[in-house]
Amino acid sequence: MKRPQNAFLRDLKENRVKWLMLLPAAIVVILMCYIPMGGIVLAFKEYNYHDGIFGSPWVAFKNFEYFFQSGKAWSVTRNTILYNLAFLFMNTFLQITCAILLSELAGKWFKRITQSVMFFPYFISWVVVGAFIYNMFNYEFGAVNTFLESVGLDPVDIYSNKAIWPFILIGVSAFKNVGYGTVMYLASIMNIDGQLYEAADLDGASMWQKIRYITLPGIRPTIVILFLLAIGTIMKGDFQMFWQVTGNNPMVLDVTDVIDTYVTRSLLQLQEFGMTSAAGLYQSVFSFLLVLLANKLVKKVEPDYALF
Amino acid sequence: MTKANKTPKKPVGRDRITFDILSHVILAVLSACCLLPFLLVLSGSFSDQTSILTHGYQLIPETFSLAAYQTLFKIPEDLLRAYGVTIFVTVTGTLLGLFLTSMAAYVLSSRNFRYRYQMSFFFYFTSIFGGGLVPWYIFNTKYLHFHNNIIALILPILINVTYLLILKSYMAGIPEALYESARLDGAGDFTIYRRVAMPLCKAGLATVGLFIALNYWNDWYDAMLFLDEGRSDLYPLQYFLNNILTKAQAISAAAARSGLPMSEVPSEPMKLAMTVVATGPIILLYPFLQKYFVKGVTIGAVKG
Amino acid sequence: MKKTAKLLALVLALILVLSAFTACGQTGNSSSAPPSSAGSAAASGPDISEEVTLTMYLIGDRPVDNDLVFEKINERLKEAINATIDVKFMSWSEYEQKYPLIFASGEDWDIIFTADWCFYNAQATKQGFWEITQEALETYAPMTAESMYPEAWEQAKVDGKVYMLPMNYQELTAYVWMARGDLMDKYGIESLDTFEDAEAYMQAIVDNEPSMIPLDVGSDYDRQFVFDLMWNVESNAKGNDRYAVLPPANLITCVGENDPEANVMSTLDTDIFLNVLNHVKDWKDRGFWSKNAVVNTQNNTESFQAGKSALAVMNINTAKSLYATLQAEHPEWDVRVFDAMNGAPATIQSYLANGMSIFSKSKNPERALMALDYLRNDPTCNDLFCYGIEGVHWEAVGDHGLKSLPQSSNYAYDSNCNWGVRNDATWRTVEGGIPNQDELVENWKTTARSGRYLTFVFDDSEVKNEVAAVSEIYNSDYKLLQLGFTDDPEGDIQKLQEKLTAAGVDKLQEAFKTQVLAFNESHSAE
Repeated sequence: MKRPQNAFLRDLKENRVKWLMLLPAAIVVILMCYIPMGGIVLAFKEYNYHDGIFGSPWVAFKNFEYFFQSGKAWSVTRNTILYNLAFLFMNTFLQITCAILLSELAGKWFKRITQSVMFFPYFISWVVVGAFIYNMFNYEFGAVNTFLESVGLDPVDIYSNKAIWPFILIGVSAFKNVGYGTVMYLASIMNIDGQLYEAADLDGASMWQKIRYITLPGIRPTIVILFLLAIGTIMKGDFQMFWQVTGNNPMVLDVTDVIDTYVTRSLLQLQEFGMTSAAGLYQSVFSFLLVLLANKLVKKVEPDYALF
Repeated sequence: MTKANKTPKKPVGRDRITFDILSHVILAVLSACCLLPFLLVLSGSFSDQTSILTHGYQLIPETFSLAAYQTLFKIPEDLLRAYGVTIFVTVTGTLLGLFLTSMAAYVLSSRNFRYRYQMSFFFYFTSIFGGGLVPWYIFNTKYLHFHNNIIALILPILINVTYLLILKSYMAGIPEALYESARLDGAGDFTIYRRVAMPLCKAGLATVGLFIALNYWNDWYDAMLFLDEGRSDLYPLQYFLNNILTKAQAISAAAARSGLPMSEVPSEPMKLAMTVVATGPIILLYPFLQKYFVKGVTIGAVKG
Repeated sequence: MKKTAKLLALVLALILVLSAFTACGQTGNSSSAPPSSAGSAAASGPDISEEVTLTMYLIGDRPVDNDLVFEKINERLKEAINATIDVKFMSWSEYEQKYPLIFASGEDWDIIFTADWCFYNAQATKQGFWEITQEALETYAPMTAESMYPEAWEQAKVDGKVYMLPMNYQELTAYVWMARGDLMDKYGIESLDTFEDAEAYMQAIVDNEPSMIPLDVGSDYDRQFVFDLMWNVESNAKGNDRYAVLPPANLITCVGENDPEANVMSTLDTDIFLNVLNHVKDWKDRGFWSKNAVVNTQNNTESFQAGKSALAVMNINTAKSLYATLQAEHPEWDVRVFDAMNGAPATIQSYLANGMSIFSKSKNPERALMALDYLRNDPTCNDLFCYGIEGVHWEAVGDHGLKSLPQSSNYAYDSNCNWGVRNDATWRTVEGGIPNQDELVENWKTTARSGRYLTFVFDDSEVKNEVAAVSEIYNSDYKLLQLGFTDDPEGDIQKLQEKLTAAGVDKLQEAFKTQVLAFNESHSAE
């Protein structure tokens, strides 16, 4: 770690083209992210317009209290993490599968159509998805119950059934994200050196062997980086998805409530910037620690794949 | 040359046939899952409010109605202008964003760049910590003068750190030897970036470019924050549509709460018609990019 | 790890430095702003020598003829107070997000629409509004000072200070049933004046019209209408011991209206809660609304309009416009409107339901107040703002009525966010509407009462955490009970009481009690 003081300056000079190439992106990030980041202090303040962000009085940890007061902090944190992990594994699995299938597929028009079609869900807003779900599962008129009754079965009340909601949410998340994420893995497969496959063909390797020994190892860096990036957002959640798809249904809240939905419900009327900041900071710090840990592990195993 | 031309030299193996059948079936099922809701959206957008409320979404509209589209296209110039703004913002933002992102990704992926970890961290940190909406808004309006400025639609989502790091990981896959040989030929960093890294990373660039474009296409939040109601000439498409949609909900909520008069809008078919109108052209972008997703040509081609 | 720590330190240092420069700008701004306004305030009497343009934010969409109307208003204002108004609109779709931001942005503006449902309390406690003192009111808004209802002025006080000119308009809050006349005749139901009648009607629908939901209430604002109706009836039956639910409703707090001790409690603790709960539960169990009502995002009026339900509950204002629409769309339904209050008195709506405020950093707050004075009380300005241009958008029918003209689609009656300046002295009603409307209103007027705590305003600054935690319960578990979703009423009440205790409801009620006692003391003279 001991370097001469001017090592940085020397690098700035030697590698000036590289630094110049980095500069525009860095400026955007400084303007859009780093300067406003000073606003984190709001989490410890009681904001008023007159004194502004930095002049408003300090209140220490008071803004964090409501979050822990009702005793729900733990359950919503747990739900958030578990859902994100489930989405991560499920979506990654499906995305990789689709990417491999698409990359090996011969038929040109079939490939083109399937790929485009799988992008459709990305454009359907969560509001509309929520309406679909309600149309399907509504007790009196929903498509599911209409079908069950037509074949002589008893209707089911899905909206009061806690056990089923995690599966619905995982399914819906896959529906929206698989097509979108597949492209990333597809691009990664495209980056694999074609000569590897040729050599394997010459050796008479089977399809499965090629996938197992060339494709999967080839996309490993992408898997790792996407995994690390996902850890960084593990405390957040697709707010719109949870809010719209579950309809903020109090009957199943135990299993569908995540941090963002909880905070929104609590602060709907209060409009307290400080409390919102406090919740955000809790999420950030927690994810940050997880990322540091994960990154460190990755760095030990494969230094090249680490985020930083 | 490569495996791209898929004419196997040996007889087609059984595994290949199983694989083909399996993959066609799986992909067909998945596509159907994605297509069906979209067809329902399409059909619903041609229904009237009453039939959606009473019968739900159906594949064939019960009663055919153009009311939703008529409301959307009531002022066609506005819609066309909104398309214009969105296309301008998407094209400019994507080209600029892709350029800046790829340059930065190239530097961060260079193994001979001593501060690559630190600088990666510098970028990554912003995706975890943020100052929150209010400070961000204050800074942007007070000091960057985003108010009613089209830059407000471009700058905030110009650099997406996630995409930057993904692109970096694609670029890290390029063999160092290729860079070395270019360097021996006397090429500088920018030349290597332009002549070696960019062509080798087409699939990655296509992916990230697509994602950036989608972000611009779908963004209405920045427009909501920074554009005044009087500046509808700057409204992007999604904001225009979003306005129509959420207005109906907000009015009926306020009416129920405080007894204000409320107006009637065909809100249900409107949501769906909006989905159709907003999806339109951008969905055509993907088939256009597809030529970059052809397997195996890249490295072999350069090496050869 | 050491390296990371170092990096982190570097990043933090960077943020601090960068923020410091932002901070400088900010403190500079806030310290330079006050003197200018203080200077002009020091001058005695309104000095209007300098012409000013005031920026006014309204909520909604710009009516087509808005600029024409304001051209006329500005003519009048220019002549009277040497000022003109520039109107900006915040669309319905974004006001919730944008409203707090324009206060923070440092943008230059002066007047804004506000209401108890539109962030009045939240912005007032964050010093977003300019305080309107009694003195300022008398100096700059003499007409308002004279016409203002004293209750309205009291009600607008937040921690003893007034930041809003509430509307000068008394409105009754009363609910009505809207039912299908054709179905009533089919099943021999004569009226819906009592809960029993309504039950009989809905039961007939359940038994005979399987494709319909009798009363399709949603999870949004209309979810509490039925509950509130039943609560009011139960509470009213207790006569002098009746309960007053203290605002804001999301804190589920109430107090015996004539309880000198002000024993504040949660609604769950009252002796009528179980009865009300059993009543709604009975309706829910009989299938009067959907088993999925808690996730239904449609309003019950929308369902009714679509022919999906046979009955809807709404306030009288919504009923007026819906009645007109349905008369045109479905005359064969023979829509009828009935009093749903079941004898419980109608209450006078809070004056804070609509009002106008002045921005705390306005450069010309005095002139803004003068302009508001004219918008509220000057017949020319008030008529223009509320109904548009006479002869173009409307024509007068007597002193308190009007007829809409075809052009009114470009500037509709009472729909231009003019609600904050509604004034009983100049108010005009539209001719026509629900046939039995006069009868209904007369009936309510005779029983209407303005509740002892109508003007009570809760100051939540000391208990924000508890407010957040209790709000959360109101928006989740309490919602279930309001719609009768419970298999074990007594058990669920107890469970909810425990949750409230954990959320700190005791501290909240303590704060309520102190404030209620103080309120009673200051109002004992009346």
